[in-house]
This record gives sequence, C-alpha cells and structure tokens, in this order.
Amino acid sequence: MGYAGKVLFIDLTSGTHRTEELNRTWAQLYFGGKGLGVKYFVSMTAPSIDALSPENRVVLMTGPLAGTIAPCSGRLSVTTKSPASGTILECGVGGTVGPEIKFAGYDGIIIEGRANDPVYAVVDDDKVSVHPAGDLWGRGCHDTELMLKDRLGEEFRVISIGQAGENLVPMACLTSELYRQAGRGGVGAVFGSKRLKALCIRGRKPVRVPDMTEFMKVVGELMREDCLTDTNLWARTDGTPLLVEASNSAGILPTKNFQDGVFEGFKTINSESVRSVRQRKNACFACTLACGNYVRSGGAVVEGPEYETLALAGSNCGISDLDAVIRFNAACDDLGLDTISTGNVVAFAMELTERGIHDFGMRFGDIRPYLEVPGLIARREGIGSDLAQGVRYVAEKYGGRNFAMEVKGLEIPGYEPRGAWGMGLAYATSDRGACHMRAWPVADEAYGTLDPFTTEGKAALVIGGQHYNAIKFSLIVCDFWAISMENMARLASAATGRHVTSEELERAGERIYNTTRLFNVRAGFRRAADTLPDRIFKETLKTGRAAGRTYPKEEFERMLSEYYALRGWDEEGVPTPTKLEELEIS
Amino acid sequence: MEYYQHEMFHRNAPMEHGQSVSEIPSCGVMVVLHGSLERYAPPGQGRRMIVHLPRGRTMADLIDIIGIPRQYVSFGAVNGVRREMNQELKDGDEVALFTPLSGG
Repeated sequence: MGYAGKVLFIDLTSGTHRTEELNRTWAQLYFGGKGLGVKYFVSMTAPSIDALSPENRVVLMTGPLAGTIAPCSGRLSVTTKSPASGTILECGVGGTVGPEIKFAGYDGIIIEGRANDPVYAVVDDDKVSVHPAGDLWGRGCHDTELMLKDRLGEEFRVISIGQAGENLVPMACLTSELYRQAGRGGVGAVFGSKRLKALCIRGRKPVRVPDMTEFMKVVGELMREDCLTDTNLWARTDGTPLLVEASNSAGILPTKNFQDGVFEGFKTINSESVRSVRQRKNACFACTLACGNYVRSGGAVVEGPEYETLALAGSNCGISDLDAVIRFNAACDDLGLDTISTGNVVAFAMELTERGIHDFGMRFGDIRPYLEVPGLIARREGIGSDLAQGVRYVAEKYGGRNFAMEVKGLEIPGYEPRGAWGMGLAYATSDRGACHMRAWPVADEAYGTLDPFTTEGKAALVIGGQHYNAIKFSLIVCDFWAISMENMARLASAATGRHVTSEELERAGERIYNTTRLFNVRAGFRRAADTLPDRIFKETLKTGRAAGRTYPKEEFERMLSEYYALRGWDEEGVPTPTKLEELEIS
Repeated sequence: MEYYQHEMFHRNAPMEHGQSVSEIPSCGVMVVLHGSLERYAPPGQGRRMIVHLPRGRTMADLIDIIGIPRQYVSFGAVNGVRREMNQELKDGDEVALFTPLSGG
C-alpha cells in the first residue's frame, strides 16, 4: 500500500516499453524516491559508463506518499550518472509530475537507450508511446511544454529539456510546469544524449493507503502540529529569498565569486524586493506551504527567483539589479540551464577577466554580457562554448584553479563554507559534488547556535543531516518541512501499513548514503576528491562575521578522517565490507 | 514612511516606584520581523515597527517584549550583522529577527 506496485521501463533504442512488478524487498529497504531510484539505478548501471552514452539511464521515482494528501509530498526524484561530476546524480523536481506518475499506475519510470532521432514519450495511464519530436527540437522548455499541452491536452504533465540539454551542456536541467527544475549535475544533458525532448504523463488511477481513516488522522495532526507552524511558514510568507538577508547577516552570502560573504547591494535582491514584484504564491501538489513566488518584472515572468539564483546569479556576479536577475532566471529556465552552475561560471569568467587571466568581456556587475551568456552557453556559441563546460573546465583551460569554486566538477551553491565549517564538509562529502541538499549544517552554524568556526562535532552533524535528507527525499517529503524523524515514521507507517520506526528510517538513510558512496567509489572517487577549492583554505573573507578568519586545511582533513571513521569507511573513504554487510548492501 | 510606535514596552517594562513612563531613559530600535514572525506585530502593521526600550536592554529582552516564543527565533542581526542574543541595543539600531530556516 502507498505504492502503485509497478515500474515502467521505456527503451528509446527500440522504441518499446515494458512494466515490472515493484521490487518489494527494495521498497522495504529503500522506501521510494531517492533511495529506491538509486537502488534501481545502481543495480542496472555500471559505474564506469560515460554519462552521455546510451548505457546511462534516467530513473524517475516517486515515494509512497506521492499522490496522497500528505503535505509537501509532491516532489519527484530523478537519478542518473552526472555528466558534470561523473558521480551518481540524484535530484528532485516539484510541481505535479511526481504524483501524476503515481496516478498513471507507476511508482517509477526508467528511461533507457538512445533514440535515433529526437523523440518525446507519452505515458497516458497504461498507454505508452514514443513520437518524433523534430518540430520541438531547438525550442525552449516553455514552447515545448505549451505545444505538447496543446497537442495532448491540458491535463498532461510535461518534463522537458531546452536547447542546453539538446546540446549536451553539463549544467543542463529538466524543466516541468514551466518553472520547476531538476536542476543540478546535467540530467538535462542525459535526456539530450538520449534524444528525448520531453516526457508527458497523464494518470487517472487512484492512490490507495491501507487505512484511510488512520491516514487522514495522522496527516491532519501533523499538518496542524508540525507543518503549519512558525518553524516552516517562512516558506509561505517569503520562500527562499528570505535567505538572502539571513546569509548576508551571517556573512555567508557568496559575493563576487566567493571573494566575500557580504554583498553591499543585498537590499535590492532580498526578500522584501522580491515580494514587491510578486504576483502570487504557487505550490506543488498537496503542499500547504506554497514556497513559490510567481513574479513579473523587467519584462520577464518567472516562478522565482529562488535564493540560489539570487545568490549565485546575483551577489556572486556582483549584480544587485533584481530585474536583471529575474531576466537571467527566466532565460535559464527556458533554455534549460541550472542557475547555480550558470551563475558560478559567469562569476568565474568575471574574475578571470578582472584579473587579466583571460578576457571574457565581462566584469562583476556588468549586466549586458551577463544577460547574453545563458543563450551562448545553451547554444555553445562564442564564449559560451567554453563556459558551457563548467568552472573546472574553464580553470583547466585558462587558469584560476585556486579560485575555481567547484567540488568534483559541480559548482558550489549559496553558502560560503568559511562562515560555516561544517557546510564545507557537507560539500566535500556530498554524493554528487558541491551540493546543499545532502546536509545543511548552516541551519545550526550560520543561522543557529553552534559555533560556525570549529570542526568539533561537525562530522556527526553532517552525517546526521545526510541520513535525514536521504530518507526524507525517499518518502518523499519536501526539504522545507522541518519534520522530525519520528513524525516521518508516522507518515511512512500510515502510507505503507507496516509499523515503521524512526530508527528504521535512520538506518535506511545510512543505507542510501552508503549505496551512493559505493557507486562513486566504483566510479573511481576517493578521499582526494572529497575536498574544497584552495580559495576556501588559503584566502580570508573581507567583511562580515567570518572576516579575517582562515579555514585551516589541516582541521578540515582531521574532520574528514573523523567523518570516515564514524561512517565505518576506511581512510580513503571506501565503505568497509563490514559496514556494507551491516546495511545489507551488495 | 511611518512606523507604528510599539506600545508593549509601556505595558511590560518594570518601572521604579513613582516613576512615569516618560522619565525612563529609553532608546528606539527599528525591528524587522522576517518570515512568519510578522504575525507577532500588531495587526495590519506589516513587518517593520519601532520599539522603545529602556537603555541597556538586549536582543533577547526585545524578543520577550514583543512576545515571540524564543524557539521561533533562530537568530537576530543588528544593523545587518548577525549578533548574539545578549547584544545590547542602542538608539537607532535596526534589528532583524529570523525564524528557523530549513532546506536551501
């Protein structure tokens, strides 16, 4: 119960499809979403494959809560191998596409192979078909989605790529419902490599829970007592733009390619400014928080900009003009580009230009070239042909390696690690490169009561966060509901009909994290890759709470060793056979 | 822009015997209640207001005076920089209060 009981496989090479019964053993061990998606992916895919080869797969997986009225349960997990980092890549997308897969009668959809010519796939309950997409190829995500809805019907949910994905740009994302993205690590390029322009889904089946009365009771109680409280309602009043001022106050707002943690122009890109151009709020399926801000400004319409965009494409590029950030955001959404990586590579090019290392024709704060870059990247034209390859590539080609702000090839999100030392460990040990969604110790360090400038206790803090998020994104519950493990266990029990404890969820989180690590180890990653850019260890921030402080590399390395030891991994970061056996991982 | 002159201090602050409100040395701080903390402002007020405090009061005192349960304030900033709860407030300070934040 809670599950549809079927997984759909679409083979683009042959244009055929098949369904399999859901693997119930895996569902018990991994629950759904990230965990189950990762389990399916690693069981079928060799870690050594080229991410853009037909051997790569894309696993779209729902959780047992998808399609129910459980709040904040409307997201979808997407797993593949990343063309940006070469690691396993799991990312999430909101909106309604996840529940729609469940309504169509599937827990997950697995895309395999490669089509000869561009195609789009249609899943209409039990009817599955693949169609030529020649007329859609070359179009942005917005055109693509609207044309497909015109063709198929408004009820269809669409997940598509733009020109960036078609051109195999490693920072290309998937877009759904015009403004929602599975953003990081280049899953859009994997779609492009398969010549899959879009996936369209309509479902009309029910989602069942074992005991409706009990389920409604649990959901009602948790909604009142845990969800709609002052701990979470910032998402409704503001959404993520609130983090601009919070991060700036804490001295961790990335500024001018992470040269500083305080941005003098923050007031024009903060939440109050975003609220001033907000038209309305927007929510995912079954969400009571409605974090989305639908804004219109500067001639552009966008659901956003989210904090990550305001930080990486705003302060980190020295841009304080909100209209410009909104236009940049709208362009990236339509072209199918991750704003975190795109903002980062623009900022890196600006610093390279200012330092005279290579002239990309733009300096911090230059709006005109900044607005041109997303199109150049997506089409791989002019400077876009280099910038499309990401910060690591540009640094290797032109220099600036010590201030290339990436981990494992994935650009760093919006939390400066020198002002939150545990966040540095979270970036270094994330399963997909620099990522803020695996553990988020800044909540305790920069915004909470823990000392941000120590490594004491941070290894355990990061591990706890990684397990918590791994299972949260498996059930699936949105990041923005700060739900306790105990209450997640109540939801899981009510949805699946078996007694699930918080200890079981914690252990499943650990199992998931070790499963992703094992894939990465087998793909060749070891301790040397679990690190941070030299800038973090060798340069100090100029202003704010962390001004003048260094983040000593030796302390980071000591914390990393402690992290491995606590995890039961060896000194190279490889899970030991004992640990794998304990977690029932093969 | 006009801001509400917060009255809570006048109801809650301890006064010396025989002392009137106007005789207490006080300072005015601009308070910005971020996120859902806005609902602790007087109705219709929005998220900005001026609060008058006796001199020597801290950010923690301010939170108590406004009446926000402490667990719903993750941190506060004074004049744009995060400060500890025992930070003493001065006349003209701008104090920003934030709820717990999750996700990213």
